[in-house]
This record gives sequence, structure tokens and C-alpha cells, in this order.
Amino acid sequence: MVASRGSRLRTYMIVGVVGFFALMLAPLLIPRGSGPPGSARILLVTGLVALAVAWWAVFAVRIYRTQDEFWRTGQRLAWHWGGLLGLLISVPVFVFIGLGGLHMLYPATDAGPVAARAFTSGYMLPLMLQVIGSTLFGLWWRFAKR
Amino acid sequence: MKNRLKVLRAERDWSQADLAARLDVSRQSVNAIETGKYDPSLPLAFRIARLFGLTIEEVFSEV
Repeated sequence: MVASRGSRLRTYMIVGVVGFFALMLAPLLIPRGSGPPGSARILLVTGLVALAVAWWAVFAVRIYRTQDEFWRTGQRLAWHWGGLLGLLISVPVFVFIGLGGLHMLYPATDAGPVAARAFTSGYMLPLMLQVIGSTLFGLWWRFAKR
Repeated sequence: MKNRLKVLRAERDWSQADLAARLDVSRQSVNAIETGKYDPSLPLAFRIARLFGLTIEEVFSEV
């Protein structure tokens, strides 16, 4: 008997979320010594996180394909406009923090130039990848649908 | 876009869930289409019309 769309969706969501968090939290079970993490630990944790992301990607595709067109449209709308809105709101927040604005709110905060550079890198990485991903999909659409 | 989905469904004494099952979509989709909050794709509009034995124009209208 073929499971209904609803039960398949629920299964994918549960397995997807549980598997994702299990892999993301797995590094907590690996004993860590004192001091900064060694190369082996960095590679292991990065590998587990990459696995978690791949797991999530597989289930995200399954969930999307199982949804009907109404929910797909809603999801696309949410990602497009919700994601864009969140991204736009983050820009002034980023500038505020990047310029040392946290010092105004919490005078005890002493973020030096190294922390500012790390924060900028951390902010720019997902932003750039999102822009690149969006551009690539836009180009694919333009050329594939001609 | 307007449609006669609710009337057609009532004529057959189908619930939204019944219609959703026949169309293989969610009940929320049927509700959104009925209330005019969501316009179905052309393939789904064809499926709906075919299910009721009508043409698309007999189910959906522009205004």
C-alpha cells in the first residue's frame, strides 16, 4: 500500500530533522581535551557537519517533491521574500556591529580588530554563497527555459 | 480568478478532504483555491475540470 502524501511528508520531516540534529550534535559526544581543537578534531567535526547538511539537503528535496503545488508555492515565496527581507535587515545590523556598535550597548565588550575581521568573514560567507547560489539558479532558469 | 469549486463539490456532497484526496492535493490547497486565495497551475486546473467532467472555463472564470 502506498503511503499518503501527508504521512510521507511527516516521515520525511521527522527523519530529516532527527538525522540532521543527531549528526550536528554528534561532535558533543567526542571527548575534547583542553586547549584549542587539534586538526583531527576540526576535520572530524567539519565532516560530520557536512554530512548533516547533505542529509538535510536530501530530505529537503524529498519533502519539496512530496508537497503539492500549493505548499511548494508557499515555500518558494517564504524563502524568496522571507530570505530577502532577513538578508536586508541584517545589513545595517552587520555594519553596526562591524563598526564596534556593541561597545555602545555593552561598554564591557572589547572587540578588537581581529574579532571584527572574524565577524565580517562570518557574515560575508553565507551572504556571498547565497548571492552566488541565487545567481546560478537564475542563470540556469534563463538558459534552460529558453 | 473566480471558480465554482465549492458549488460543484457541494453538488456531489464531497467534503474538502474528499476532493483533495481525488485530486491528490492537500485539503488546505482545496480550501485556498475555493476561497480564491490561490490560483491553481494549469495542470491542476485541468485535473479539477476533468474530475467534474467540465471544461476549465466552466469551472474557472477570470473575474
